[in-house]
Amino acid sequence: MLKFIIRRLILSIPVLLGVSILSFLIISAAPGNFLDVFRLDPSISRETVQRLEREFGFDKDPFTQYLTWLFQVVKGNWGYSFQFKQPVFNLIWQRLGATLLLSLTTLVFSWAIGIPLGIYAALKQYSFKDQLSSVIAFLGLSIPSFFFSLLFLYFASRTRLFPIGGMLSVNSSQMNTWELIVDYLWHVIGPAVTLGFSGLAGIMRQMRGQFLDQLHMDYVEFAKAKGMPRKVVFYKHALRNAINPLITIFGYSLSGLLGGAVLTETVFGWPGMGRLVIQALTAQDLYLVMASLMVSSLMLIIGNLAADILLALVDPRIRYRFH
Amino acid sequence: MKKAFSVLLVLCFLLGIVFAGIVPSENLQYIVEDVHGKVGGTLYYYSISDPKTFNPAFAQETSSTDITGIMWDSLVDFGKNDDIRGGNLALDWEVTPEGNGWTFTIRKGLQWSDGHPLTAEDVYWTFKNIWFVPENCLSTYDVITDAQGRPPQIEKLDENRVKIWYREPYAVGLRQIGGVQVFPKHIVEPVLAAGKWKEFWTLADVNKLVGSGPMLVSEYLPDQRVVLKRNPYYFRVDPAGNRLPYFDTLIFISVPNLNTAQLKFEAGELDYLAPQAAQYPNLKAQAAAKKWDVGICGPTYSTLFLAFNQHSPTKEQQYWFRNKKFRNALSCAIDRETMIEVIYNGLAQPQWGPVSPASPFYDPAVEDLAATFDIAKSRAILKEAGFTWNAEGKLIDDRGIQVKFLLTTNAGNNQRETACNLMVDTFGQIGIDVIFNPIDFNTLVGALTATGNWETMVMGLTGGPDPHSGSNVNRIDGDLHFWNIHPDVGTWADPDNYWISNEEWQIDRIFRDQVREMDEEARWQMFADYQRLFVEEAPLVYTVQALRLYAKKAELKGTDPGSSSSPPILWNLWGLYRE
Repeated sequence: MLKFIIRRLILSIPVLLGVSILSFLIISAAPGNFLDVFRLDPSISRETVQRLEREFGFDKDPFTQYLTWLFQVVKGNWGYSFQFKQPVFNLIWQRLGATLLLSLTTLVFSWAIGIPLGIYAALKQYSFKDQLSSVIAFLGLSIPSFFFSLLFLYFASRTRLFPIGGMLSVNSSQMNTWELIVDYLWHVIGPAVTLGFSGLAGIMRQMRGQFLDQLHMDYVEFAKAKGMPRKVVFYKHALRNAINPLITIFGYSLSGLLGGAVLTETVFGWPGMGRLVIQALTAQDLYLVMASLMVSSLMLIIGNLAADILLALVDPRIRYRFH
Repeated sequence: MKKAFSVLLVLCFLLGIVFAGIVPSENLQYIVEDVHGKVGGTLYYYSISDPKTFNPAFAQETSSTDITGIMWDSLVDFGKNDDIRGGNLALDWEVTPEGNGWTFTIRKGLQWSDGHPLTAEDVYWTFKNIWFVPENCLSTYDVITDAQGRPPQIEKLDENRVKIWYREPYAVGLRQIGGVQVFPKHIVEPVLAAGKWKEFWTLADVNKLVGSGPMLVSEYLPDQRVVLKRNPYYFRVDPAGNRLPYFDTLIFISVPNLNTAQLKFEAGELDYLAPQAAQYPNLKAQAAAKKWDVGICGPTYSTLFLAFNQHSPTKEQQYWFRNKKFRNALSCAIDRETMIEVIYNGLAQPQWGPVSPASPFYDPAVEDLAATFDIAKSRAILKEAGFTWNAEGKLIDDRGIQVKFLLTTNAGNNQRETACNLMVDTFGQIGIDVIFNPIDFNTLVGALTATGNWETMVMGLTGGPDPHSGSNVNRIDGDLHFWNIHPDVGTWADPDNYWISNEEWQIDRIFRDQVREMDEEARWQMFADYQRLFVEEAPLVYTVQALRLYAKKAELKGTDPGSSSSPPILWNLWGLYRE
């Protein structure tokens, strides 16, 4: 297993290199650069723009720029943000926590509700409750999460039951730990529910379908006929077989932890990476964009790896062997 | 200038009273402001994008400068319309005998927020080592140098006086020198010596901020909030002897967009909102019930104009675009009233000339030259210029070529896109086929400044109270004289096919001469001529100008919103209070 993991990690290096070359070239091919706003400012002289061009390295060709960047990255220097004059990783670190918190809360929300609801719906197939949960699931799948977020914000502003965006209250610096946790939970309900709803619906439908498939298998019939208690048949045998595809989905959802919430973050004013990255993209803050792209690619690789490992743990038929 | 002096005289008189009565122990030369408020409390403001840095030398966009402007003061104080209000760090100043500079007397007894004395040495050091060195600031060097790009000279006369002068009289010098901030030498000198100035006072350096303004940042949480606390050493007081500002705390709450800001304002979480025209009617309707003040600050310094590329890549267009009558005819075919209704909900006004009505240099005479929407008049001007119409009603020039062109603007800017669509419609009414093709902002900048590959476009540039800020646009060899770029500046202009009209020469002349004209009246007259010439020549056809709007809680007092480029109610942060 360890060998497998190491091998996967080594293979990820060329992938990351490829991603970085492609991203860098695409960004360079886009018209203009960070200094365009300066060029249209009547108070800034051409000499100043030229001086800044030299300072930021825009006078070199994209390939030289890329090699310089890569060389620095290997040395551990990910560059400075043009806008913030700070090392890019400081900026990403500051916001990584908020994004991970939201994504993990959402993950817990959608899985903790989606899986049991799927099982319940499968066991009560074609009952009114099953139909009802299907209707809710289709609603969840069909409403875009940003639109749902807007509806939620409107609801919050009309009823005052929930805060209007943000992660913590303005006076959070005077709170103790418990108050902070309560304040956070109060703020996170909106983004987590709106973001997790479609995921929840998908998971629930998947779980229901997979479980029903297994329930109609011969071995289930056989176990029932043999007189095995229903609980054991359903939860020990059928469920274990039904859950496999969901583990794969879980792995992929790990990779979406960092980038999956950009729209929701923007609507709710969540202080995460999404807003930083969008701002960096519009301002063409090259190295900040590159660093965030690399972090997201790394998360994708790690997420896939985690899914494969989890599968191996759950399904005794799967063994990774490399000789 | 006279006004500034009389204000100063009154202030000095008040100072005398204060010195006699309230603060005899200290020798600080206070500014006494005529405000009567209540001490304490928190002001809740908002920001749509976070500051990028707290270092004023490298701050560029308003999200940063709005905050650095609060933390560091400059020599001269600017009012609600960016007008010169009087002295700030400077007690007063006098023009040097040669008329090319100023001797500033710095207030006695000033202190930095860490208690260290603020003296003429800090002023001298800041100018000498930060603002006069292009590498140590982003663009302020461009701001304070004269029209030929030469920086002024500075000399420290004694503990309280510095003299700053240019090689020759420079009319906008006071505004420019007086507007840049002064830094604490005892903090910045070691940083500069260590070569760390560029990375100093970043957002991570909240605990290193030492300033002279009414408040300083005490906490910064990315995309959540910026908290400012009052500077206990600030040098303004009210007549009752309270040290200003009244508020203890100012919080900028980070919001993703103006709509969320409105929701927060309606929920009472914010004290102030600068709404857009679309939000205004709704807020106004609720104002009485919710105890808000909702109103109009006045015109802004922003502009929205139609430009014609006189070096258009399509050769036959150059012939039309260089024709002043053609441009004037198109100006008459712009339906500004509809634009105001459609784009700004009626909360805008037509703009005729290059200077905003908010500026003290605005000459109302341009309104007499107004090209009101009149298709018949537009057609008459075109006919007079030799244009005719073919059988299909399309406009053709005197060589028989049908008039058609591309109109562009930056995609995603709804106001500009709507303006373009309205123009396509009304220009169609005079027989011109206009194809509207919005493009990405960066591509647009490239077209304007590097390739010259555009035909007509709707754009805006931000001006200021002094038309001199548009020098780079109005001078014929200016980098932003984009409609008729000089062949030395833009490679796409053919030197053998370069032509400058008489009016453009005169405008160029005015912009070269006005910087040496120290007499305000004479300078006003020069700019009045400039505005008349510009409207007649119409190299850029101005359209409409948005009005700046405000909404605030009625309990927030002391506000005096204006057209200032800083947040409209924060220019006098020291005088705001909650009732």
